[in-house]
Amino acid sequence: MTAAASEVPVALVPTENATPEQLVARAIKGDRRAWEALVDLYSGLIWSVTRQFRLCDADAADVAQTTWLRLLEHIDRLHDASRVGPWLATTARRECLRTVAHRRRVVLTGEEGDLDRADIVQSEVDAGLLAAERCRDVGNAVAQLPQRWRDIMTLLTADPPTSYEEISATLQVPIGSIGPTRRRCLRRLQDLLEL
Amino acid sequence: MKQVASGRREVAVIERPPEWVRLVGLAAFDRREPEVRVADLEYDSLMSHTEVPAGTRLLRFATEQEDVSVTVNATGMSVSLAIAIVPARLVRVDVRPIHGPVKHAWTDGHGRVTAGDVPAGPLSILVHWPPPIGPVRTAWIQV
Repeated sequence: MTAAASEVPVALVPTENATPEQLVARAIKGDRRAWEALVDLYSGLIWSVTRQFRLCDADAADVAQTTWLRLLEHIDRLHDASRVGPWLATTARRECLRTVAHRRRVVLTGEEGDLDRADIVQSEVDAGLLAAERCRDVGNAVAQLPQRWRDIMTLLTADPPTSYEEISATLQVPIGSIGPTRRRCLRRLQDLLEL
Repeated sequence: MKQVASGRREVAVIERPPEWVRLVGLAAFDRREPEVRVADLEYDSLMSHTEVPAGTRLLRFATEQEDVSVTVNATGMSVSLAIAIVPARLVRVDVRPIHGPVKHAWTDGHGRVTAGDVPAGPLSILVHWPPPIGPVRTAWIQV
């Protein structure tokens, strides 16, 4: 008996037990419940990416929406459907970069009087910029981690934290490997951030 | 160690998403169009080092045979679009912003059309080429 023949047909696996790969296969066929399960599984990941870029809610919503629409466009062209999570994270990151680049080039101002208040708000802006810079450094450091480590750290640093059992199920990694991976991640981040 | 703890807290920028994040994901499924071919984004001046006039952005979408070029000019909370299609035909073009109604327009004989006052945000353009080409839409893009 071949491995393929021994597998349970995708359509017969309950949605709550389906792997990301199986959910993708169903969503391609128009299964809305499978799509909903993908959204439930990965909304937090997309949200976390937008938070790393400190986007306002309106921009974050546009990034999230564009990311999901992009998945719909590419869902039947994914190289490896089991890696849909990292694919979404990468797409969201690109859309965040697009948003940030756009904001840098387009500066909107309201009334001219608003400009007179610039000095008053300058210190707040400085604090915000410093925080953003620190955030960017951390983001850059995290970006240098292997993708699998980033996925694990994303779930570990969720608020409230995701349990090891959930992480193991979501990312399909052995539960015993999560703790050691976490330690290696933090050590690498310490080195990269020179803490 | 305080610094390490502080660093870790900053790594922990991940939060449980608000419900609207989930809702926009669910809503995306309603825009599924498996029967329409997609022209993928090939070029975005915003993400390149090409010099373009201030406030202007150039986009190019393509399939193997068709091409949709878009010049985007930001005008506050809305944008204006100058669209050029290849092959050039007199065809209907639907500009479909997420944050506003669909705008219908017709290209001229050179395959050009403009659309003004389009709400900023994600959008896709649907080009109704006649057979044998058939309808083609651009990938979703934030403008």
